[in-house]
Amino acid sequence: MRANCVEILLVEDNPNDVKLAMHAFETHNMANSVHVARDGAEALEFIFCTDRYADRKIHSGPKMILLDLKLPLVDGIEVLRRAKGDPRTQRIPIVVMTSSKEDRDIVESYKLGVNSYIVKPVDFGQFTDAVKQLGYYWLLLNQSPIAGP
Amino acid sequence: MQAANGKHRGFATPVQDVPESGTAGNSSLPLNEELLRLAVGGMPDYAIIMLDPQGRVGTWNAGAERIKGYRAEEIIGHHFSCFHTDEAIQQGWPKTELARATAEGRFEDEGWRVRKDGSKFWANVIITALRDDTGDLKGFSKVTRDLTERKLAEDAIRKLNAELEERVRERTAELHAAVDERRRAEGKFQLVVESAPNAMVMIDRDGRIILINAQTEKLFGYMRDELLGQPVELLVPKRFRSQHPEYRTSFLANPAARAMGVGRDLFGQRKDGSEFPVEIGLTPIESDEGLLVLSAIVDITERKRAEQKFRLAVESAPNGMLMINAEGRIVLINAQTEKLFGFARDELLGQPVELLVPARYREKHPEYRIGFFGDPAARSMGTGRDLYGQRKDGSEFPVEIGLMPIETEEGRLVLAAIVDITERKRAQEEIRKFSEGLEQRVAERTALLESANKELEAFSYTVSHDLRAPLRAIDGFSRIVMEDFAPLLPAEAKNYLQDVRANTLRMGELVDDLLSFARLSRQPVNKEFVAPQWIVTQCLEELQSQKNGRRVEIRVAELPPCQADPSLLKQVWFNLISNALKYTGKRETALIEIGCQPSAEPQQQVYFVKDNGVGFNMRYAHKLFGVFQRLHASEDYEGTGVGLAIVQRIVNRHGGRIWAEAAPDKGATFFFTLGEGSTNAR
Repeated sequence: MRANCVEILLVEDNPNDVKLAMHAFETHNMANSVHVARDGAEALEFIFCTDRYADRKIHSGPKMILLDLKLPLVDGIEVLRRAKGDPRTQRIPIVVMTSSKEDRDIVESYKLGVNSYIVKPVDFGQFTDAVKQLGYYWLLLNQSPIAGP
Repeated sequence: MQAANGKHRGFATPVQDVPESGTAGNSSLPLNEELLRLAVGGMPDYAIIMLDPQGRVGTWNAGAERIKGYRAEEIIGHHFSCFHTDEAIQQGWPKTELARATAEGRFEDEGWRVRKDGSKFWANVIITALRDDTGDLKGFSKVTRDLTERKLAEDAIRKLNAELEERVRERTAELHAAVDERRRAEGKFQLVVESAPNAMVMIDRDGRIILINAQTEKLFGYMRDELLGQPVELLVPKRFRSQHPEYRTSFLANPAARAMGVGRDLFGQRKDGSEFPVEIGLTPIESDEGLLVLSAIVDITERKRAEQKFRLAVESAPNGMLMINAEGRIVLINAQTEKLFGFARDELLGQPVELLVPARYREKHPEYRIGFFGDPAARSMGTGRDLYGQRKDGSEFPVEIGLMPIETEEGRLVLAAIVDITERKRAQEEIRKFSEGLEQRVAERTALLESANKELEAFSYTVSHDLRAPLRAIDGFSRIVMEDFAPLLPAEAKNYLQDVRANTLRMGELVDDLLSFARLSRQPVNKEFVAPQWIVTQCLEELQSQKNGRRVEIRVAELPPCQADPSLLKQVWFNLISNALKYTGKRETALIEIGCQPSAEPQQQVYFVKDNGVGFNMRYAHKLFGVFQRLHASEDYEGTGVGLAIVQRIVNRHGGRIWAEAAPDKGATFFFTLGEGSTNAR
């Protein structure tokens, strides 16, 4: 059901961080709707449905991108620029994940149109706050049947 | 017939009568009639004729024919009045002549008579009455001479005489006028001489003074009477006196207005024997008394002194000085010029200045020179061009030349100051090379610094991301273990896990502080007008949690506004107040004073935060602001040891200072300033 309707794209190369984030989503039964890209190149392929993700349809998501900025192959800023620079994808909310709130890249990413940021490790509380802050309640509501008891 | 015959006889008769006249001769004298006839007939210059008592012509000779133009046969028997002018006839002059000759025996007349052709001639006429022995009038002899030429000559002479007399009269009048004029002129001349601004002395051929003016008296110290009539040598210094007459003589031999003693220095001598330099102009004057010489004498002591000063100034100038005249010839140089160009003075004086110009510029130089003379103004030569001088040995050297026009009595001169700029050029070149090298080094150093900075940034980035990642993992997994496996864990395990998490948290803080400290060195300081009062209030609000449950008294004095980066300044106040709260933690009542006091440095305030906390030993004060330096155990007072290092760096970057005064257990006071001009000190 959720296989080709990915709700969240998590772009993160650090396996520990992926694990920790996935643990948070699993705890809230959202892990099924999260797709992980391990580098910037894979993220772009997924977003624009090319190469490894050529069979995907561009209009089918994701509903949100959680983006680390320090990535192999293509860095996060570039991914951000491309996603926000394309009319087909520019409306996808992007939340930057940073290791420090002092990070100067945050400023740069805001200039490129990022919607919010959260400091790693990503726990569900922070994620929820960011989503609420952005006004994307639908994302949470959408998940609530699955997340329900 | 009568004429042919009568020619001889006719003559014979009157001639016969001549001796009887009593005038021409003695009747007793035996005369050869034939001889007489011949004599009378052959006298071509005299018209000798006989008239009868009525005045009719009786005889006619060749002279009469030549003078009057009638032949004998034409005139004999005619009245002699036909020889008279119409006017004379109207006046009855022929009759008068005969009457007077009759009465007086002889009548002589000079006057105009008429020839046969009507032309007139000036005649001398002598008419003699001829009487016979009884005294009866027999007729008249008439001798006529043509005196026309003599008359004309006489008239001419008369006219000439008249003209001559007229000219004599005129000339006399002229002479009178000239004499008057001369008298007036002499008066004027004396007046001019007297009022001349210079001393003027006139001497005669013998060198005696015949005229002086008041200036001469003043200049030489003599009275007029002491000089007049004296030899002019009286005014000449003794050492020149013997030569002077010789000069005088040569002037008289070739008199023309000119300056005396060209090329020589002239001196005058006063009555008191003192000498002074003079300049003398000579003017020959022709006069009745012969050739006189008028000399104008100028005392040039002052000028000489000025010249001397000028020469001394030129000589003592540290630069080469050189003066040229309008022809471009060198008229003055100083020792420096000799030294500079390697020429002796004598080798340069009188030479064209181009001698000192390198051959390749020599041709152009006169043009520049003439241009300068035409439009002289003190300025440097050849602006924008590199100038070179050439030494005697042909070597060149770079120069700088200042030009100054000088107006003198000898005309316009130009003074040039020449500086050898070889050393300067060398120094400039060295400086240029040096600064090139310096720039190179600065560029290299800058590049090094930039790359170091980039490395540092990369390092910071790495630290912030990579150093933090394992910490996240440790903390994250510890948390998961604690949350997900809580029921399986003994209490002791949970405590240890708690310690693991506390330490990762602390390391995170350390990393954060270290990062913000590192960032301070690259973050720009944006100064603006800020109110510390408001910043302090903000800090105190944010630090509220540290005051909770404690008795804290905070006194904030009035803090004047200042120039600072607001966010950085806030960090300073925040850290200092935070420290004060922290280190007063064990006081029953914490007392914190915040204020400012005037600084010894201009336009600065000293801000301070004073507490009554644990203080510290001043012996360790130097460690206070080091990174990770702590004077207290972290068990007693938590903290990373970066706070004061950050504060010091911010203060330093504002150009200010920070220091502390403290004693163990007696509290501490932190002072800081924000650099010159940061506040308006009251």
